[in-house]
Amino acid sequence: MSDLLSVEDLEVSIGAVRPVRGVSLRVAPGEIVGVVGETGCGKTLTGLAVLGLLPPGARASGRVVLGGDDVLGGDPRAVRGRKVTMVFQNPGTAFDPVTTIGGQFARVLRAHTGCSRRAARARAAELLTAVELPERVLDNYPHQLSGGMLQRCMIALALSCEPSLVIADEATTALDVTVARQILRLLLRLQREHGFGVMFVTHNLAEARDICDRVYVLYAGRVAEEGMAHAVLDRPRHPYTRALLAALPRLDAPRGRLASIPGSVSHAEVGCSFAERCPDAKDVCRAETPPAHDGVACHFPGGAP
Amino acid sequence: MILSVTGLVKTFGSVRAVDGVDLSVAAGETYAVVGESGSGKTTLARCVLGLIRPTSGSVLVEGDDTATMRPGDLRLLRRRVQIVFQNPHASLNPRMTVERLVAEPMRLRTGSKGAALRDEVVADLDRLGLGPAHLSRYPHELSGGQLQRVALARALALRPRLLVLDEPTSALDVSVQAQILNLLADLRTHDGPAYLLISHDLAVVRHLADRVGVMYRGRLVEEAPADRLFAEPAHDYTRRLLDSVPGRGRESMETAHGVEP
Repeated sequence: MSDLLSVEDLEVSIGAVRPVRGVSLRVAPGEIVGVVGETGCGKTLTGLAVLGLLPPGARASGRVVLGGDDVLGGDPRAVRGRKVTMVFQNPGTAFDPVTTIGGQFARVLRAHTGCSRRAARARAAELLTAVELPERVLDNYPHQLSGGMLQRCMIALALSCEPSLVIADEATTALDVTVARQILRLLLRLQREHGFGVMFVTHNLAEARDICDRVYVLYAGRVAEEGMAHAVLDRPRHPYTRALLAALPRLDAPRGRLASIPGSVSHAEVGCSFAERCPDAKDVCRAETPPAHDGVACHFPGGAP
Repeated sequence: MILSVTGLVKTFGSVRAVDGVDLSVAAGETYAVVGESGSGKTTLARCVLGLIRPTSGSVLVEGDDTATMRPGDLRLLRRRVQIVFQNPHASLNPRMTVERLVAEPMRLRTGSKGAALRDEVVADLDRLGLGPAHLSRYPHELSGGQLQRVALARALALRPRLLVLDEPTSALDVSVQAQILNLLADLRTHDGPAYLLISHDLAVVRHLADRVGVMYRGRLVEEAPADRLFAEPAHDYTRRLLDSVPGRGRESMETAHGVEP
């Protein structure tokens, strides 16, 4: 199947820093793909590059092709809002505080489809129904709604122009656990009904395990490991993925000391970025950047000999 | 008992934020309060710290009632009850070095000055995994995990009997969270304080807590030893919380369980 989204060798530099250093990933139509990693791994910038929303001063190279359109080379406004939309982390700040929810839907719908106010309101009501909210929410201001309701509104807004790709960036991180669960279930149901692809950007490995078909684990701006979500997260092969999973407190594991990862992230230009923190690192790891082989960028996948 | 809370009620206008809570924490024990936004867990913590006065009920710290304390006594109370907040970027003075941040409470307890005070600060920081190189740093020069260690050092410098931990690892990455959770477990074994852990993360709670109280709409709806609470949750809301913990795969998404709000 041809790819919905194809990112090839994406690099993003901001001044002398290169937070994204050659990320390649793809999303097939209707697929839910996780982009997971810790702070500073480059996951959010990768998402923003797909939207053509990199911060001022950031330079990107590589290729980002979305449904046949070149995002990096062309005008991102051709795809943003129509083919690709974003659900942000904090719904409390993503909405205009002085406009009703209905007004914000009208703005988006009229800008993209040129429809009448009346048609926009009807469509907005329909979208709210899809996210299990009553029509009266259209007359509410953002501060009158809970975080979970606002996140439902944001998802509805993201779906308003029937995009083929939705980027969800830490979409549940600011929510309570039970509400986060409802939002994930909602996203999964809407994805099945509408068939859009999802790029699920998260630091939460457990959530990625629950909703993603495939995942990419990012470390220091590179893809450390990729594969089917259950394979990567149940049988990790990259030492970083293994260390990250071992550091996670779990309900189904015996209580005891958690494995922590020594040191801090380095963006070494030569060799594997994880080598300094890796229990299995050999000389070759510090000398040569490991090529991705069979989904794992490691000289000794699955442990040192 | 280090802490005994009896019939605690705190209202704000017509809202009963805490609506009749009883709990107690023994020396060296870790008691976790779990709940979601609006459950009243933060208001409970603020009453325990004596930051706000309960509407009714009592909060006893080693037998002393904080509700009837005068301001001077409350200041003394804070040497016995300390707190570590979720976001160390916001809770540490950005214009003070690590040394000053830790020396300030340390001097209150030991009365030391100069080189002796500095040695005490160095020793405490070392126990928390921060070397002397950090003494001259400012908060913005440190990572989130390092800052949370400084916040812990500051709280522990007073050798409190009770440490309130308000979502202490929620703002941290997984690998750093593991370091801080291990550290908290280690500190408990050295004649350390009892912990009142406030958290919404059930995996973290299970990892650290001896007993758990589940708060919902201002009330403790269930309280049990941690092992039992996670193995046999008795209250509907506890079961719903447990069902919401992610990580059991796609199949767990299909079986919606429990009551919807």
